[in-house]
Amino acid sequence: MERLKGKVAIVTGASSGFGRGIAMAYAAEGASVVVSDIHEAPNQGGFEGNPQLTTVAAITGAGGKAQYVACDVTRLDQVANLVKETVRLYGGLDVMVNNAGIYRAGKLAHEFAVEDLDVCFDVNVKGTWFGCQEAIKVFLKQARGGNIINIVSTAGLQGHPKQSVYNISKGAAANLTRCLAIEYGRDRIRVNGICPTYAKTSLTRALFDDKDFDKVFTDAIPLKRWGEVEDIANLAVFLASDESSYIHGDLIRIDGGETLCRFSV
Amino acid sequence: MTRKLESRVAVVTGSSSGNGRAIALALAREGAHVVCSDLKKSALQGGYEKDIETDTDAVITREGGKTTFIAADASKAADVQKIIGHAVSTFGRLDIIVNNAGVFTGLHSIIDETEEQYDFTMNVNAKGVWLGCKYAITQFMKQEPLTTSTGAQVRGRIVNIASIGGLVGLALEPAYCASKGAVVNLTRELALDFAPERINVNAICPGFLATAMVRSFLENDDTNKLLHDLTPWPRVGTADDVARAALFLASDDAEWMTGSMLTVDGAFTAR
Repeated sequence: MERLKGKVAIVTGASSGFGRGIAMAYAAEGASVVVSDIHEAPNQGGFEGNPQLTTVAAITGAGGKAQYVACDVTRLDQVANLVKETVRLYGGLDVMVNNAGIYRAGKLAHEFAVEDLDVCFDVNVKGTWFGCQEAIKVFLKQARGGNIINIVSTAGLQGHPKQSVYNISKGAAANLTRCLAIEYGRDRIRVNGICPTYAKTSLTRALFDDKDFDKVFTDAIPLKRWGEVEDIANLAVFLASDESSYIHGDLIRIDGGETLCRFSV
Repeated sequence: MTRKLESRVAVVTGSSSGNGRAIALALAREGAHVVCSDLKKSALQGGYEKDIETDTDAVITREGGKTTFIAADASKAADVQKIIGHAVSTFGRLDIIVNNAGVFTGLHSIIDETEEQYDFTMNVNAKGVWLGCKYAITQFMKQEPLTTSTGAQVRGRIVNIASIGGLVGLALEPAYCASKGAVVNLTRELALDFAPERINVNAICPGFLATAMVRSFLENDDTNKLLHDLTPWPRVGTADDVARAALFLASDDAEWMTGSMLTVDGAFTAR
């Protein structure tokens, strides 16, 4: 259980859901983890086994190393501070997981307000962009390579109805991943994206609890189950580890086969 | 520490050299019982293996692993059935197949490519993978599913070795690209058909790697420079890069991945 021993990782949006699962998996594999979010308490209504504990408390309770640094990823000064604090706390940075994201859905394109578009781009694109920029600056200074993992979505790879503002923001994050891979490969900074479909988190609780949706969705997933946070965390550990040392610029689908049959909500 | 594939039974085709050899060794080191299969037991000369004079099964045995070798032509149905039968008679079941055997006949435009080259490429790269999937799945369906470390049920895992040539065009490799494109979409199709049975079907798309197949490119100054210039990561890949990716896809860590393409190319195709 030491696949990430000695590595320092930042996970944004790590109080709940994917970010929390990734932070916990990293710590269990020996990494020192900076847990970052806009509030430290987990979202209620998720599927966490111990929602009364903060992510840091869950990690340290299990014998792992973690610290919390508050950060709104849409604010450059806060992202810069997050990276600076990480270097101060743990002496460097090896892995940046840009996980913080926001979802907007339920309207046709002509019905969405400009605020819906802006919030998706602020968090999903600009937040990822800032996280990449600040991490890359440290990686270049350290001159020992680095590793960026962007949590994209299958929505970044294809169209879905009634969530155009979300899909185009994830499309931007997907292509940002490719661009950075080309620009920074020579510096041994790996950049990859993880593309999940709906998985069980507080963000999807309402859909999960909707019996009709659950049936339609589960039927449409070839593996016949919702994704779990652990599924995504397993892949994030693999990408953060040296096991994936030549995987670079890839956008990896982890979706129980959903995108094979083009499920559309 | 628990190994990731303790006592799982895995078939690796094309296991004597290059990617197949590295994959067989990686699976065995994680506890898998590996059925090695290739036309010949000895490694292709001209590869980059450290101990090229020692056969893959001998390396596994030396390291304390369980293995067996069966000579077979992956493009022949009877031979592929023989491989699966040998796995079951030797180790009792089949959990994993890595369809790795592949050929490349060199650079030429379609004007110069011969029908024989086309048939040979398609027979091994496309039909061979189809046969490997067909007979592995037939065996998977006869067995009781395994319960994994996480309590999930899994009936079998397939890892097909495709290529970035199945995702993008590579100049002067018409039949090769067509054959690998077939592997990519066969992978997606089988993932759909057999997901309800809990058979994971994924593929790896390697870029240019230091193997015997690619040696002529690496030893030519012009193509060597071109490959390095086109690969954002500052080195070409190795068989071990592919092996580690295959291990991940064969393991319980990738249980919710099916129909996915894992590109191992140092961002060659990100352009």
